[in-house]
Amino acid sequence: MSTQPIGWPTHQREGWLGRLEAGNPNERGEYGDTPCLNETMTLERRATVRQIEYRDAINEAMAEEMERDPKVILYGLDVGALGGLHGVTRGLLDRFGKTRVMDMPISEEVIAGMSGGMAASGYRPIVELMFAGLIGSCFSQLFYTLGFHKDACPNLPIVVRLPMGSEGGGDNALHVHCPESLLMHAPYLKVVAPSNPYDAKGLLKTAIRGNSPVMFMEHKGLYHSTGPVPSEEYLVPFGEALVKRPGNDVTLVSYSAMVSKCVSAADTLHREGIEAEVIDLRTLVPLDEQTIINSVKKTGRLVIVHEAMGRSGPAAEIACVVAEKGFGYLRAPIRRVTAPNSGVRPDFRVEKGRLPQAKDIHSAAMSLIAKDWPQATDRGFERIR
Amino acid sequence: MDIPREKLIKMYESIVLSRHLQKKILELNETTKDFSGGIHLRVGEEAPAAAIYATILEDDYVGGHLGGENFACSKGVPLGPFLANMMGRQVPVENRDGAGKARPAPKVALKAPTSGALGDAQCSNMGIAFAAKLSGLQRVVVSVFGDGTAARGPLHECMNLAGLWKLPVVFVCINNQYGISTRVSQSCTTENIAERATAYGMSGLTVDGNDVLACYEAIFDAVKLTRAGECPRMVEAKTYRLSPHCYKTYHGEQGYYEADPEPYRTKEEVELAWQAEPLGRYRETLLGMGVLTQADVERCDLEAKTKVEEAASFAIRLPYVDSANWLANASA
Repeated sequence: MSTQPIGWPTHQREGWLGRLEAGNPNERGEYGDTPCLNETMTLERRATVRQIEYRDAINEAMAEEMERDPKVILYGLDVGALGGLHGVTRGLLDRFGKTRVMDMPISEEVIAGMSGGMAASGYRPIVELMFAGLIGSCFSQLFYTLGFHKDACPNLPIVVRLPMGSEGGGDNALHVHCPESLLMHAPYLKVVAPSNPYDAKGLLKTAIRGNSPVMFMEHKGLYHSTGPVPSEEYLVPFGEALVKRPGNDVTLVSYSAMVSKCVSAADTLHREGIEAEVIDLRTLVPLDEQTIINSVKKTGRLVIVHEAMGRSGPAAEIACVVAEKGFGYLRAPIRRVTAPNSGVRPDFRVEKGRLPQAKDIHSAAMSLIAKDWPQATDRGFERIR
Repeated sequence: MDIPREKLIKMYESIVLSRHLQKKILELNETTKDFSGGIHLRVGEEAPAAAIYATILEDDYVGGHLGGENFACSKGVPLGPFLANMMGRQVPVENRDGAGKARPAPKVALKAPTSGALGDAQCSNMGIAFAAKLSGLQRVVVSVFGDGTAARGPLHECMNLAGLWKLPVVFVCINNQYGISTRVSQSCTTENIAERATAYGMSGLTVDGNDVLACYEAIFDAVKLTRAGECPRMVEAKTYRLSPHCYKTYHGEQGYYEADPEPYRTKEEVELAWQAEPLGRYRETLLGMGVLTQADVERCDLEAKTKVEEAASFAIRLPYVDSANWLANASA
């Protein structure tokens, strides 16, 4: 695998979200803006790799799938003429017309619930809700109607796109909420949360081609982040996490916007002689338990990071899975770095303090490494190694 | 209105069948104790269901109703598997999806999901209607709901959207005067629910839901006009729920599948309502019209009884759904 950056722009966008993209280390051992480690993005395989925005990667995925299959249709608030509140669906109305790209009234219940009937009638709806927090308005539809009926209705090729997360602008609670853990709790919903444009496009294409309801948690704050995306077609499978950066000392598991923060924290740890392994989950349901367990087997220390609130967040589920299936590998307690269990003050100055930053992840990792945790052998039984 | 004789008789037979089926279900509940979740009979509300199924074509879709006996009998689904499903029995593969000895599974087997919440199924129905419109099908969607559901937000969103996009939907409100214990005057701001139709850009009609012929006429016109493009439309059938909301099933300690002792209405009120019930009136009408003779009435009664007995014996002989079995098929 080449370690030369292949014509990427020399500057990288560094907003308050921190540096973006990871892959091979530079001469200082830091992971910067080169492609991901596990991705087979060899020069030979790619015709053209472009640096495009996350939101445009999503746009491309939809455009390509709508071109490929006339049954794919898109609807939601302001997706047509406006091109989406954040411009994610720009150009789709002109290209596919108003019978395939439809603006809806502010009726989330019927927006979400209609997808079931459309899927039963042979269409493949992509439903866009304006904010992920609006699942509150149509929770029964998403959770009960779509999430419980795989036995009765095995084919429900529905994608619900849910823009979540903080953009740094100081929005209020509903507009920045990351409700993925609520949706994970339905038996048959898939929950997908890409952290970069490459994964966003590949995961969305997989979602559209699949036959089950997928909750596509796109992060609003990442919409303007850029990353390498080949112009050739590719899909990203569900249930496969990515090791963004290898390491032997501590495992940092995350998804969506926090992945880049984990990478930044790992760089800081590297300068202190500690090698952190950063895992990008990419999909929460199905969860790639094996990659996490393999990593914990190596490092013995786990920090789980997400933007959602801590209590009953996805970290709780992941931690329990590791405690159940990888207990013998743990050398220290599991830590999670999340937003606090509190409300949201709609103030951009306050927002940064509420959300996990690289320094919080760094502290959590250090707390697991620095201290001598009593090991299984100390407690009088064999450690499985 | 000139209604074909076959349709008149078909509607009569389906109501008689439904009454016998509902009676049989109560018997089976006592003897087998196989039912789950309470038994929700709807004696007295048969007319709108009979009218809907006498009117629609095979490609049309009826949704939003809670799968009751009235709809099953009017649709003509095989009653054996219907009962078997209610009694927690495993239906053989060849009998699933509405297939029976006499017919294969219907062509229009639109498996649309719904939650248990009222008003959610109507959203799914809007999806079917919209898909039909996009595909250029001549399908009419009949979206059924009750007076209680008329207070729910999602239903209003559906009506709004249907009115906006001129979806081929006939909204049929079966106003049986009660939610569970809530009178319609406690849940609806207007005298007639059909008055709300104009708020959503559609025409609404209120009819006597205990008069089979009036229901047929209203729904026939609504479906015809909807298919011609003058849609959506609403028909409110004012009827009365003669049954209690539910009867008790025998598992689970308490909760909503306890029997409904009906403290919210008097016995006199129910007895008065029985005098206006649809089956007796319709029978008299048909006898008067000469469509049926007394011998026909008795024959029909006997046929219905036989069908229901056969269905019951079909169901009882089937094995129970094994909980391990079900999970193996259901897990993601």
